[in-house]
Formats: sequence, structure tokens, C-alpha cells
Amino acid sequence: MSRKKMLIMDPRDNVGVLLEDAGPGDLCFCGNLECTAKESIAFGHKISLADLQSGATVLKYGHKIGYATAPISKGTWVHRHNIESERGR
Amino acid sequence: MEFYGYRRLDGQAGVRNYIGIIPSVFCANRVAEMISQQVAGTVCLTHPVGCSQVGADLERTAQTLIAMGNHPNLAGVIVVGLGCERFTVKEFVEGLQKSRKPVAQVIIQEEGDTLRAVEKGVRLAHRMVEEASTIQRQPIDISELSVGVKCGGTDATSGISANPAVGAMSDLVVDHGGTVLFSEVTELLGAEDILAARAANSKVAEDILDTIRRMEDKLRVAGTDPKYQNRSALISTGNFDGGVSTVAEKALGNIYKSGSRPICGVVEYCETPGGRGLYLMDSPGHDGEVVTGMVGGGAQVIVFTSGRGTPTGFPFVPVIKVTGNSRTYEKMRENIDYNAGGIIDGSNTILAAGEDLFRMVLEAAGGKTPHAEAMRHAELFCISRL
Repeated sequence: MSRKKMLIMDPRDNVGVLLEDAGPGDLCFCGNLECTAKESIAFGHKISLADLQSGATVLKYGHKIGYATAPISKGTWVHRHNIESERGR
Repeated sequence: MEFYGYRRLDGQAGVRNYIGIIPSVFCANRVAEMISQQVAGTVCLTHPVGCSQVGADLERTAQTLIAMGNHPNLAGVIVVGLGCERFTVKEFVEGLQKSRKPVAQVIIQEEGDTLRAVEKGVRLAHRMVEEASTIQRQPIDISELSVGVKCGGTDATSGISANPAVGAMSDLVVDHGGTVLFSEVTELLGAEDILAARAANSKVAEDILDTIRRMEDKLRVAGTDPKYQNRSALISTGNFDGGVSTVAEKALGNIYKSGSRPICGVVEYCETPGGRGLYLMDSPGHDGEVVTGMVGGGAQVIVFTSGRGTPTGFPFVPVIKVTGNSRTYEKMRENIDYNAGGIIDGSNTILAAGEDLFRMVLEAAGGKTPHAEAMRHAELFCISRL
């Protein structure tokens, strides 16, 4: 287990952006906020900061970037396999 | 504050002094290239259009080519035509009269063959370069500078470091009385409310919302045919690999480039804004089509962010490349001009990076060649189709 830097763009966000590659058990931190990664998440990718139900709004930059298409548990990777946007389609 | 630029006869300010060799139709591309290859100080603008087009599509080609020829970064233009194309050499040359710059023409079917046309073009280009080389740079106020901001090869760092740094630069350009153009309407979906709230007045707010709505309607029509369901992704595989999951996420990172100043208006493709300040250009398409529209709308310098790294450039406009992460910077040292990655590790701040970029824009305007220009990257000249 090691500490990995992440960035939270806005206090309202429920995802963080990893600034280093993280593996299962790594403690991801941004200021005082900490979240343990449950799986491998690459640099630049998003980690869930909360347990999200299917259909929940995913917030980054303080705004909606999409919604969860499946339950997303805290500390897991957030990407195309579990979020989608109704925009541009 | 001033930069050293070229004052043109029509009053515009240029930051380069090239002679443009511009085909009116794709059939003249090779002759134009052969002319340009013989004469230092020329740039060639090859393209795949100019004939067998009608209506708005042909009009856009004509407008774009004329806007290129009238751009103040070109001291003179040689139009190369075949002789039977729909966008005629005569119309092209007439469209360039308002710039009052030297314009000459070579029509292949009139000269006889490729070599005769090339010979005539080379002689004309030699004379034009000689004449242009006597024009001196002079101090010009920054308020006459127009900067286009664009991103391509986006990853998650584009929206964290590179685009915010460019936004800080955009604010500085606007605060000094200059103009900033931003566009990429396909990549504003999901950020329209934020942009509309920054509009200078309610008319501009409506225009912003309309522009984005029209683009989304167009995409909906194009993307719903089940035949093309594998071709409906609006963002690229590289964006996904870089950690960007949805177009709304990309949009929210994208709009940082426009900084924080009021949006003064929405302009059409290749349209020069009526005033100074920050403007949104209604433009379709990929990096090249967007940058060409901005250059057509008067941008003399382009600042281009790329998280994953792209080498592209424009034939007669300096393109400053900015990446948001040190990995790409180390890997693509000869393509990237500025590394904003320090914002991520805390060794740099968004404001300081914005000041660095503002200084780099002024240096590029004054003649310093960014990597893309030094290596003659010219892929970003690209005429959009309707």
C-alpha cells in the first residue's frame, strides 16, 4: 500500500482524478480527503469518492459529466463501463 | 504593450511575412507545391476542393480560400488555377483586392503544361518575395492581436492544467485589449449553461445556447442510424484512454481555455469579430477545420493544448503547443513548446503558466518560431465541407 496523489476539481464532485497510477489498497489523497483504491486505476482516470447507485449523477468540475449505468462503489474506477452521458448522441 | 509585426496596406497587422501560393482547385495542387518548393519565403496551401461543389458547400470553400489570401500574415498571394474549375481564379483574385496586397495568378491551361505553369509561378514568386523582404517589422499594440485557442489529443490533464493555463493567458490577452477566439462547438455539449452565464448580454447568451443546440441536433441526426452505431462516438479512443469518459466531461475541461472574461459574441466560420474581446466561433469539425476557421476569422497566433501530444501546425500562422503533463512533454520534446504539468505537481501555478504563455504568444507574434512552424507542419490548413 502506498499513498497516491489525486485531484478533486470542485468540492461538490463525487469523483477524483488520479495524478499517479494507483493499485488495489493504495490510499489516494487530496488535501485531507482520502479514499482507498479497490482496483487498479491509471493516471488521469477517475476514482469514485462515494457509493453511487445506478442512475446517480456523476459530478466533476462541480457539474454533471454523466450518470452511473451500474452501482459504483467507493474506491473503484469510474469510466465508460459504468458511466454514460445523454449528451451528443 | 506592443509586439513587432507587419503593418499591411489595408491597416491589418500581420505577424509573418510569407507569400502564399494558393490553388483555387485541387487540380492545381502539384503545380502550387512545385512553385513553393523553389522559392524560400513562400508557403503552399494545398486542399482537396474547389470544383464539383454547389451551394453553401462551394460558398464555404470560396470564403475560406479568400479569407486565407486576405490574412495579414501573408504579404502577397499567387493564385494557381487549372482554368475550368467552379471556384474561378477570377473570383478568387477579386476577393483578395480588399487586402490591397500584391496578387498574381497562374492558370495551368493557359500556360500550357505543368512545367510552363511552374516556371511562370516561380518567377512571380521570386519577385513577390523580394518585394516583401523589404517590409520591416514595427511596434504594434497588443490590442491588434487575435489569438485562437484550441485543444486536440485531449487527456484528463488537458482540463486540469493545460486548458486552465491557456485560460489565464486568454484573460491577459483580453485585458490588454486583444481578441481571443474559441470554438469546438461539438465539445461544448454539457457546458452551455456556464458559457451562457458568461455572455456579455442576453442576445449573446441566446446565440451561445442556439449554436450548441443546433450542433447537438445535427449530431443526433447523424448518430441515430443503426448502420453507423459503431461510428457515433463523439470523442476519440485516445480521449478515452487518457481518462475522459464522456463528451460533457471533455466540454467542462475544454471551456477553461476561454478563460473567465465575458463572451462578447458568436461569429460564423471564418468571420472576423466586429469588436475586440472574447468570441465563440460556430465551427464544425476536427482540429484543422477549426483552426482554419479561426485563422480565417483573423487569428494571427494559435495556442493549442494537447495532453497526449500532437505535432500539427498551420502553413502561415505560428501554433504554440502546450501539454498538461510532463510525460507527454518528455516524450514529444520537439513538438511541444510549453509544459503546464508543473501545475499538477505543485511546482507551477495556473496564473504563472498563463503569464508564461502570454509572453510566448508575444514572442511568437514578434517572430520566434514555435516547433510546429520550424518543422513546417502544415496539417491544420483544412477546409470544412457542408
